[in-house]
Amino acid sequence: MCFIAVPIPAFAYHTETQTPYDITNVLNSNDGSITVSWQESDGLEDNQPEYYIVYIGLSETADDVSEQTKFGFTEALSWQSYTFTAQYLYDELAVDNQKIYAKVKAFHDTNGTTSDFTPVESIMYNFVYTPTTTTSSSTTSSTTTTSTTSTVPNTTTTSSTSTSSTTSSTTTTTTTLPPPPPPTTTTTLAPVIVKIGGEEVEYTQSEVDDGTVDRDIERQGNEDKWGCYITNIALERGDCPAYNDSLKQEEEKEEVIIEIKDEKFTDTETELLDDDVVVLEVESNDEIKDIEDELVEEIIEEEIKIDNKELEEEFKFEEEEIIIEIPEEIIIIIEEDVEEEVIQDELDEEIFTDDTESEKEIQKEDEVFFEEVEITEEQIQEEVKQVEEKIKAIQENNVKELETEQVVEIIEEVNDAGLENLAEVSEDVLEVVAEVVEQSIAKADELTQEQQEVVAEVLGFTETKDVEVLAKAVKTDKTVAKAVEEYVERAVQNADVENYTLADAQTEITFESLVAGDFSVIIDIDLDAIDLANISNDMTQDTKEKAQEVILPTVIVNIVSFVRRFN
Amino acid sequence: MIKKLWSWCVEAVKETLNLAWTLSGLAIATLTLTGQAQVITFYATVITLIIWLITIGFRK
Repeated sequence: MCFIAVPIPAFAYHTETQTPYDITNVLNSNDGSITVSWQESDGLEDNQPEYYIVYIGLSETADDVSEQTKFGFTEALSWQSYTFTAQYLYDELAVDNQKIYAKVKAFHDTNGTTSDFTPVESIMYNFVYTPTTTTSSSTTSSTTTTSTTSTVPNTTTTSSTSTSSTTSSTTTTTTTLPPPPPPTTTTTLAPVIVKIGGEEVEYTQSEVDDGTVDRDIERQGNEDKWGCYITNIALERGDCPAYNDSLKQEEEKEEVIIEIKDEKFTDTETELLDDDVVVLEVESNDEIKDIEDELVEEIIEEEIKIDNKELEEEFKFEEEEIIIEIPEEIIIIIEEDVEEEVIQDELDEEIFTDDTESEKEIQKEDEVFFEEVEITEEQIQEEVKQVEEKIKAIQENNVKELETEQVVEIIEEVNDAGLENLAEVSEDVLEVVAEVVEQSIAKADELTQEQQEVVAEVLGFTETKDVEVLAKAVKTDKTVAKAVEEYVERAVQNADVENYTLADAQTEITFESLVAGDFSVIIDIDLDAIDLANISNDMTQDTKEKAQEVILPTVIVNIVSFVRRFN
Repeated sequence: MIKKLWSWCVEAVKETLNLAWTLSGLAIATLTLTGQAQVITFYATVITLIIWLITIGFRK
């Protein structure tokens, strides 16, 4: 009854946490944000708010999304607000010309109390928003303090007259506090959809920012163009074969263009000599790229014509040379034969020996061959006569007393005539020649390199070193000594045998000895002197090659026979 | 004993004939070679042939 009779001010002390008052929802037409504002309680409550949660949504329940404030109760009846940016609304609500509903609730976690929801406040959101890459929502808080001062009515009474006056003064001061620093809220952004190669690809915002989308676009473009799903950097680095081939073709094309361009404006001979330099200069200037295709074709045609003319001129010149330089037809025939045979020799040597050997040997053979070709039968006879004269000149003296130079000179004459061509000379001459050859081996230590080559030639050796090896073998092996002694005679007898050498003479002598029952040629050797490490050092290269020709077929036949047996 | 010796001789001749091409090749090689190589080839050929013939029974 007392409460009813005596009205009490409408304080809310009876609640634990008061519900915020007078919520408003305002659209900021400048930036498309909405600001939800409310008035704090009068503070007469058990648990003043520690924070608020602002709920917004596109329905009347306003519960689609919510944000917690970082501020709580500040001052009784002060105004608080929370702003949702247009980006936030776009991302979270996808609002499009719709009403946005808002409500607020106060929280006091310490004691576990909450207020009721405020009434839902709506605003028509008709702002056209263009999404950007980043967004942030800020909350501003303003406190309005209203101060009211009331002066109690002052009454003055006089005796004569009674005057009653009331003075009332009201002072209102409004102070706006600086807003707290706006909190930054990081939100999850909507995926960005990009069309690449006709397909929609979904990217996150971070992928857009770090350039992943751009790189993927580059990759797709390169795959379409070159068939390589790589970025431009990788393409330029050379990771795409198709692109590399294209570059090579362009370079070749550029080189052709360069040559043509230079030949058109410069002297042909100079251009050919300095071809590489010209290419570099033109490439550095990048002038070729500016030449149009039509001009290039014209230049190519001109170039072909020029080349044809040059070829014709050169060909005519060669014909004139042949006519002038060859006086007789016979010589022409001989030279043609020589060229053919030389080519055959080169081919054979290149197949069976390495390049170094073939070059040397071919040169030697060619020299020898040309010398042989130049020697006609008449010339051979002349050479043989010269040998005979030489031999007759020294017959009066003892061959062993001849100087090394004299021995080599005679052997040179024999080489010029050809050992196989001495068949018609007398036996006396042959004996002297044999003695001279024998003497040359005995004096092998005194021979120079050139002299050794002369001696090697007469013995049919291809290796000059064989002369020294033979000189040592003669002292230890009587078969070899006998072969040297009889070589000239046997070579003349086997003049029709191609490439008859000292090794052939050795084999013949050994066989003849065995047939005659003289096994000493094989057995009568000091076994203790045999050095297994250098077992073939006392053989000439000529002998080794001849032995290979025999042993290899033997081994092969043996292997074949074994295989046949096991099968 | 004589029969065994006789049969061995027959087998030895057969084996030697089987090796005719090999032996002829080695003989030619011996003739072709000179010096130490010739001696070693000759002795190696003869000794190997002897061992080969002695071990006929063992190898069979």
